[in-house]
Amino acid sequence: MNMIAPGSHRMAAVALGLSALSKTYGAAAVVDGVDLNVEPGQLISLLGPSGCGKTTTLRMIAGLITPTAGAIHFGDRNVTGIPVHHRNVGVLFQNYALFPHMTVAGNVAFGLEMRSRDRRRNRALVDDALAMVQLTRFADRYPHELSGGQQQRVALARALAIEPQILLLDEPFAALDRKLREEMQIQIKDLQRRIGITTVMVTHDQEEALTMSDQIAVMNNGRIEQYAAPGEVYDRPATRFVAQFIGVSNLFEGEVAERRQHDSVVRTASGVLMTARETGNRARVTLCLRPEAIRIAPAAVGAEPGVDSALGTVSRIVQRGSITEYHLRLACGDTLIACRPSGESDGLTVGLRVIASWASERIHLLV
Amino acid sequence: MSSVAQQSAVAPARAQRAETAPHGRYALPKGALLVAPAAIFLLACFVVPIAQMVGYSLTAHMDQGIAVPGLTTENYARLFRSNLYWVVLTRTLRIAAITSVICIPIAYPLAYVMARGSAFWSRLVMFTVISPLLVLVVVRAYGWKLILAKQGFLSWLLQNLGIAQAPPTLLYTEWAVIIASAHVFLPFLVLPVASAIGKIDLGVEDAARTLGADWRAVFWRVTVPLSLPGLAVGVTLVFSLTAASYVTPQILGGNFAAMLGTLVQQQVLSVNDWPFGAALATVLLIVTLVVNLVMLRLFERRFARWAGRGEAR
Ligand SMILES: Nc1ncnc2c1ncn2[C@@H]1O[C@H](COP(=O)(O)OP(=O)(O)O)[C@@H](O)[C@H]1O
Ligand SMILES: [Mg+2]
Repeated sequence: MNMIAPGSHRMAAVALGLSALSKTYGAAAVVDGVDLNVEPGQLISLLGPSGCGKTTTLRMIAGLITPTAGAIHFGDRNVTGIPVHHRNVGVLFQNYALFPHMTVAGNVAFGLEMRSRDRRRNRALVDDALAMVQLTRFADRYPHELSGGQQQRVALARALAIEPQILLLDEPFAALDRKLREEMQIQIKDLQRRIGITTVMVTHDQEEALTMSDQIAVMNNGRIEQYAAPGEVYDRPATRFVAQFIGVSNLFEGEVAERRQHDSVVRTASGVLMTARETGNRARVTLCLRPEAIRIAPAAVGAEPGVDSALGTVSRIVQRGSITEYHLRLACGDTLIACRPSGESDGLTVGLRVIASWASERIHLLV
Repeated sequence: MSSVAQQSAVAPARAQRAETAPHGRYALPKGALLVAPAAIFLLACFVVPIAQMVGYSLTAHMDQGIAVPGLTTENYARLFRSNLYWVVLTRTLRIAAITSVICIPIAYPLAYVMARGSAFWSRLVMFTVISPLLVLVVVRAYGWKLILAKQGFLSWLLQNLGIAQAPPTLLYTEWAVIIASAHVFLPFLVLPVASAIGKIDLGVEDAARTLGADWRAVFWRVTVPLSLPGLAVGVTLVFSLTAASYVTPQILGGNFAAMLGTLVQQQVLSVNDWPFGAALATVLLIVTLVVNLVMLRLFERRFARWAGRGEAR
């Protein structure tokens, strides 16, 4: 079994390895040849739209679903055929799946009791686990007597008490309100880093993935489109899908108008000229430009757009908290989205003619 | 179209916090109206006749069946003086209890398949379990009589398997009544247990498996405890129905396994002693009620707290 992904030359240890992992239901490939290596202690996210196969992948890692093809390794150990109750994974389910008929302490003790009959030791471990999530006071409560955030902490304590090899989180924050969600994101990330457990998190929320992950695997239609660090995924999306999925993005398709030594000039259909780091011999390319890379200023009368700039009119201004979005209608009728920190509006108003420009190194060429 | 600015398609569906409507607040007047027909029906057809029966049991009677005015506790005194009635009462409770207990291990696998199996298996089990109820009670009892008779199928089977040497006595024993009662009252246990199992979140069982529980541990530590509310209802039903049954013990138990129902029938129809029959029926009613209340109370104590009943959040 090839454990090292193609192109990885570092000899990094692998805590979790998926190779050509697939799951088909009837004719539908829900997970389609997923390759993924996770280094020890990392938190990676499976990020993608609903229905792209994230949960199925996670459940295959847990052993709750048998893969149609491919292999799963925990370290050097091939666990593909190992049943779920011998896999030693901790799973935080989306709705927490606490045992309603057991107290908080009973919930946390369950996994320990499956492993050992040593009551004294189990009780000490339960105490440790509850202390870790600051729920010692609630040991004798039943799950329905707790708030959502407390229930999640119980579920986390229960999953971690068995000292699992891998921690799996399925949309862990989806059921929490915004404030609590942000709090729990920080808490779980801190805890994960402190105990250094290799973790796979499933989410459809790009912000969540960007803030919490060491690596992000962007999934679409059962495949991984890009597997890279958050900054990389954000700044240099590998595909059109990734670019669109990770936040607002301006995408341009165009033809190479002029080839130069280190780059080329691309003319989009609407006539905007852009510098692209294209040195190959492709005639048509797709370019991606982040909203925050675009500068806008009121256009002087008779201004002419050159390379890496465009003339347009402010058509809409959208406040998004700490940033403000400016929708620009370009001369050709297309829309360009730019953003800048709120409070730096510089008198930009709807209907104003502006010139948008950007540094050529902020343009990302999709392969 | 070549320069396109696109908004990401992702507007994450944030937690759908379904506002729970405060049903309870407006429920009272409307609920009372809805319950009224059933309440009136129960009052007219259940509470009044029972009151009447209890009243009867407190009247004296003459040999010709003519009622004597005035109240007396003589009927009850007579009931407790005679050893026969005590024997029959304990037998009735014993048969009802054993039937309930025997039904439990039979019901669980069936309920499990009904709740968790594919549509085909679920329906097949449902039909099989309910089918005895579709057969007239007398026909069903005679059917069992054929099977349990000395020359019957079960006797033949036990002898050929070498379990019994001589033809075993099955008919006109308590066991004949128990077997037939279990057969017909099984659905009253299977259905509530299946419904309870169906309500268990599959994620909870998955969680148990990831924590190291094999299927046995999942069953005993998660599925069974969470289906206890259904089991409590089912056991109560089977117990009450068996204790109050009359045709089955009459045909299959005969005089050797007579139950309280048979005695009531004898007093009312053969001896024509209505007050004493009413006293027997009242005792049966009270004993069954007490047993059920105690049983439900025991179950309730176990799951009242986690089911969130009787305690404010
Ligand atoms: N048991 C199943 N049978 C058939 N299709 C399934 C089954 N489970 C999941 N799917 C399909 O697989 C796809 C991926 O599901 P899932 O992994 O839950 O997606 P995600 O978690 O990314 O939203 C969905 O389109 C879903 O309908
Ligand atoms: Mg999912």
